[in-house]
Amino acid sequence: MPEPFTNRRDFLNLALGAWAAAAAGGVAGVLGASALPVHEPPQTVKVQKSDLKDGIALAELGGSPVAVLVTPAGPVAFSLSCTHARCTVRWDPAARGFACPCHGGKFDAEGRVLAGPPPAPLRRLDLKDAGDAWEITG
Amino acid sequence: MGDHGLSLLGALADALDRRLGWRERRARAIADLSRPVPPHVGWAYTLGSTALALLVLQIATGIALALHYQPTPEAAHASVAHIQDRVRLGWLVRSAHAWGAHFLVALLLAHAARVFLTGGHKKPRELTWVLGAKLLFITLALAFTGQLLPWSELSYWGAVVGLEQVRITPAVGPAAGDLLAGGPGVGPATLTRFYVLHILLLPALAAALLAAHLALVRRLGIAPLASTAEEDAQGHDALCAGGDPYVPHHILKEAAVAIVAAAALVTAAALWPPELGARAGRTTPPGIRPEWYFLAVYQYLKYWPSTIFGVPGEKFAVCLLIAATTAFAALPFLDRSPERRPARRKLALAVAGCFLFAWTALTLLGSLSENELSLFGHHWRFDTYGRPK
Ligand code: HEM
Ligand code: FES
Repeated sequence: MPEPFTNRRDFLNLALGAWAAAAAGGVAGVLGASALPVHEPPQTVKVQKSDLKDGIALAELGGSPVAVLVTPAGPVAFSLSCTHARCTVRWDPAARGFACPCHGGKFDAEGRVLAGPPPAPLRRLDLKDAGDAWEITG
Repeated sequence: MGDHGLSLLGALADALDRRLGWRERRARAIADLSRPVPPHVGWAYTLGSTALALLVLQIATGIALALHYQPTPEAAHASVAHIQDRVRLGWLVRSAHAWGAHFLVALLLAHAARVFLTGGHKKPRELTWVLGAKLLFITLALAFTGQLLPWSELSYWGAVVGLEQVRITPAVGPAAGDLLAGGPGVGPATLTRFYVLHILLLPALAAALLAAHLALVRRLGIAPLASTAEEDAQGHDALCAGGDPYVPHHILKEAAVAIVAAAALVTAAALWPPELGARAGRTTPPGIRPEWYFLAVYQYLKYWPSTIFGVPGEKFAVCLLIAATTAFAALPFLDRSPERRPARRKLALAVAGCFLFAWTALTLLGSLSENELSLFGHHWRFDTYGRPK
């Protein structure tokens, strides 16, 4: 093993290098942390029951499309962002299912995948009855 | 101005020369640049500098667009419409910038193909290739981030689907997706980030890598056709004997091709300006399709099952894709035979040919999928996999 710090110049070079690396790491750490997005807390939106059309009412929650679907078992709230690549799925009243325009994904009225590339069912959102409206949270 | 003006200019040049010594520097640079290139070097070796010329044009049109563009979801689409309809020659500037992206990607692919075919990536020019591959990836990233800026339906949903492909990458995907998009979906934060990437970070990175790429090209010289062993043994200079001097011979060829490419670009831009399309909304329009250079990847992803052992199949697809792009960037370390002449590299060329075939086939299938085609009085419609219905 070579002798550490046999002279002043080696020591100073090493110290300067270590100082520069630490400073660069610190700056990168601060900038990296500030670049991370701030996560918003769950939001709530009111959907009027009078907005129902073909058994479904559309709304927007935190910039994303959502819907309340009235099923025989009662109203259910879904995120309409396809679980494949987030295209907005469309409700097809005749087929009683959701269809995705991007890669042919299909979901039933429960949000289960029937066909195509989506790897998971449509995301369900919390739903509360508030008289003549529903409150969706997610 | 007459003589008086000219002598004033001469006096200024003299004064600057005494301070900067530019005449001697210029003479040395020209002498250096006048060294011969290898004798086989011809027109195919002009693609890199043509890409450079179009890159400069791209920066110029980009700056002109940035003077009017407004990077918020509320204003972006209207500001691009303003550039197109109201700004003097704005439609031409926008069209030239859009066409420039197509030209640049095509030129870089052709440049890389030329380098590969002539063995230019082999020792000692491995690093030149690695830097070049990174420049290609940055150019594609510039095209992807630029596409979102008009905030039209197509650009918006293209970014949504593209970002989801980033997110599905195992391990780093979710964090990288958050960092790029600035949140879970594509929103105002995404537009700000894509804008910063498009006009600041990626161009700065490209400039640095490009400087290194060109410095290496100058330092190592254009690769001869001789094998790496012969180049090692005889030296680069000996293998350039009998070749044209770079200045003025080869550089004139480069200038000629660059001018023709720029003329073709302006012609295409003037004849076929891109459409802006409707402003992005919450509903996804049918028929979202990426630009031609991403079509092969877009189509390739479709053939994977939605889940494999309970894991989304695209996770595997994306891993394979990352492996393939890494292999492309690391090609000099995989394709290691000392030969440069194509006739002595049958295996490497065959493997590359297979990739080219697959890429072309997937691109065609991607453009046919969910589309219609009329040929010789027949009419076909194709499903999402590109099969006739
Ligand atoms: C903005 C992008 C790029 C620019 C402006 C550029 C520019 C150039 C120029 C001017 C040359 C001199 C020879 C010629 O023009 O053919 C060159 C050589 C080279 N380029 Fe690029 N290039 C770029 C991207 C790439 C890419 C994508 C690759 C490959 C992945 C690459 C790999 C190489 C290699 C290995 C050489 C040396 C080849 C030899 O000596 O034969 N470059 N580049
Ligand atoms: S985004 Fe819905 S199927 Fe791909």
